[in-house]
Amino acid sequence: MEYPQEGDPDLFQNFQFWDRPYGQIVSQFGSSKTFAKNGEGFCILYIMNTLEKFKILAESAKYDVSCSSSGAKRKNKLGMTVLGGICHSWSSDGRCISLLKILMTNVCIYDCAYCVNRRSNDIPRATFEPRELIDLTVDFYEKNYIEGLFLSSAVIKTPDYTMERMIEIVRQLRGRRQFGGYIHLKIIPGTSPRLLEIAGRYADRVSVNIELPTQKSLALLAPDKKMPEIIGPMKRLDTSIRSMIALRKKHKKVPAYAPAGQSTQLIIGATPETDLEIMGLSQWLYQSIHLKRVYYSAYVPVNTTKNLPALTTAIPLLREHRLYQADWLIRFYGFDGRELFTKNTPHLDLEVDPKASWALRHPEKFPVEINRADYETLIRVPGIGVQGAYKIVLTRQVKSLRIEDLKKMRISLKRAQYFITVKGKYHGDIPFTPEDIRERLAPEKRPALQNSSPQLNFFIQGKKEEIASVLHGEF
Amino acid sequence: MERKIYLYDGTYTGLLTALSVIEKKREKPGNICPKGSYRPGLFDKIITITTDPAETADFLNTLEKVLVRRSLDHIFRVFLSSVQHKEMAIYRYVRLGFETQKKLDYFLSDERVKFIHDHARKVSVEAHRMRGLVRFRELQDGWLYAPIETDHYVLPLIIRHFSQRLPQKQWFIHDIKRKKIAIHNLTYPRIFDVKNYRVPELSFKEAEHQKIWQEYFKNIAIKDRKNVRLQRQFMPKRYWKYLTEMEVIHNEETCTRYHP
Ligand code: SF4
Repeated sequence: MEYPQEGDPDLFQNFQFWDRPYGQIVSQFGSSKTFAKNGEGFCILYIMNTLEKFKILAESAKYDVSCSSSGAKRKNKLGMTVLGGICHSWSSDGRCISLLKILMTNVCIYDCAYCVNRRSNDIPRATFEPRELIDLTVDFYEKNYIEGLFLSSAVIKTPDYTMERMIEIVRQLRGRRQFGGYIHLKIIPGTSPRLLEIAGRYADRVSVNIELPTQKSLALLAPDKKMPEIIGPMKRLDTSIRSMIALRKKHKKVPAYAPAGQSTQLIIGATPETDLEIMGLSQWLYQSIHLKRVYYSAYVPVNTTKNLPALTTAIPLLREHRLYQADWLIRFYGFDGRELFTKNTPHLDLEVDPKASWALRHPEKFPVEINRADYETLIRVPGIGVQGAYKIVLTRQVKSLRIEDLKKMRISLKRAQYFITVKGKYHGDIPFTPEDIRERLAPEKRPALQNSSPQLNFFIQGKKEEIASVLHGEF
Repeated sequence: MERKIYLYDGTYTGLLTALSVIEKKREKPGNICPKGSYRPGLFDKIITITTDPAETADFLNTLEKVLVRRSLDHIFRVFLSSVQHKEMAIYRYVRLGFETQKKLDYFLSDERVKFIHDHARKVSVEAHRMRGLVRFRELQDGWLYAPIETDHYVLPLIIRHFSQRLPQKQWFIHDIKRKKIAIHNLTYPRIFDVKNYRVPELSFKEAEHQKIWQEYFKNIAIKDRKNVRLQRQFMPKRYWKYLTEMEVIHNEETCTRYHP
């Protein structure tokens, strides 16, 4: 007889149903190891309790950065979602915790080089029983720890097999438990259309992770995944979402279908793509597939493989930050991705932010007159954001602005001073020459806070829902 | 110089009655204070306001005609704030409102408007924060209990949210500083005053669920990206006391401070 080997995924699948029922274990948090080898070839299997599974499956889920709970309005017997989303806590890396972010299982048939859960890694594996996970979600939700569930998973057997089990979990949550909280459901690349159709009915948001921006990188690092298997489901989901929205406009009774839309994630710094390529892809995703968000995740080395940056490589946090800034410019500031790059610079400037960098390349457009420039022009001024521009436009209706007024309105002139005139007067402390101004702006070198966030603003009316979610530090 | 001091009972209705009385007299008040916090001054002439719901309703109607809804929201939020002299600030804002009418909130660079906006915003921000930071604990009888300590009196702003979120549960939120308690008993939430409230025993499962949550919280952070400053910026330390996930850290830090 052959004994199963440590780390063999099949081993754990077979022992699935050996798990004691959840109700009994919860009250006995003993310390037990996941499993240990005893002598030659013997394998003692400890049955994991919920806490231990939890540790393992949360650990594996954390590299998925998305945690947004915004964009949907829903109400049920237990819970509801708030359009702007809510953050419930912030972990010690400063990221917002809004959803219970967890894998259904970390047992995987694939071998993506950048991933902790890849088949060839020797790590403890675990799988949740639907009931276990559902009970926990409901309990955490009632205690107000979380806004909902973000369910992701590694791939067991086949994409469809995995997806079916994930859907079963959310179906029970929505059905039997009448759960009205937020559900973000990860879609496994290669899922069949039939299951995609069902997934959107229960989830508020669905996402297929692209991870690597080109087919070439994918072939190199995630040989089991193909671009069409990723983009295909995205397009299909988009068609469904769009048609359901159209239908809902006509008939109020049509149930919501993934009302918070789709998102995806790209890994930054594991492969040699330029920022231009990455932003190009993002813009295409926003425009053609109507994605709500693209997340950028600086690669955290977890494995050693010859094709990957070494374990000691610094995490490209600043680059990630710049990409987020560029992403914002495209989504909220009316920029076209192409404006942010030139022929010779396929990468974003790490020294100054993308907006300032653009402004410095276009001195002919500045300075602009605060009392006359329209909203679209104002938001393009470095140092003036969506809120600042909005305040200016508002106040201008009742009085003409002086420099003191700007200060009183809490519009920081530190960066804006070089790009504006107030009543025709330029207030910068140095003449308007791009090189010198660049010097002044550059010291901003500290890897700034990603998604640095002014709090929810009640001045912004029009775009409130859209902007609210990004303003309060939420992912 | 004689100063006219208006004393009201500390409620919102009381304040609106006071404003209405002042508005009718058309003279500038020296100060408006809640009864409890007034310190007598030498030249003060005290006018005590009797809260009058009918008059308040009339005054609110007038305000609703003159101002936009948003301005009224600002006023209520500043009333909930614990900033000093908020009553006079509200008076000045309302006065300006009668002159500028619907355009009141466009005067962003005016001190009177700015003060109201800034403080209303602080209250809104805290209320929004608390919608996330309230932590319920399960008691033995199945009720959910959440203690909070906030800078401003945000309880009235958050209970509607929670009664929509947990409509079929029995829960109460306890504002420890202000000795108020909001109770939701399967219908709609109401706020009561409480004197001394001793927290009953937690349920049997509670400790274990807390442990799972704490474990999750510890594990979800990416160690290589540690950024405690950012964490504190979003979740200031003064809120940690009742956060299930920070309790351990909070207690540890307090201990080392006192017993180095
Ligand atoms: S499919 Fe790839 S990325 Fe996903 S869990 Fe498996 S190895 Fe990791």
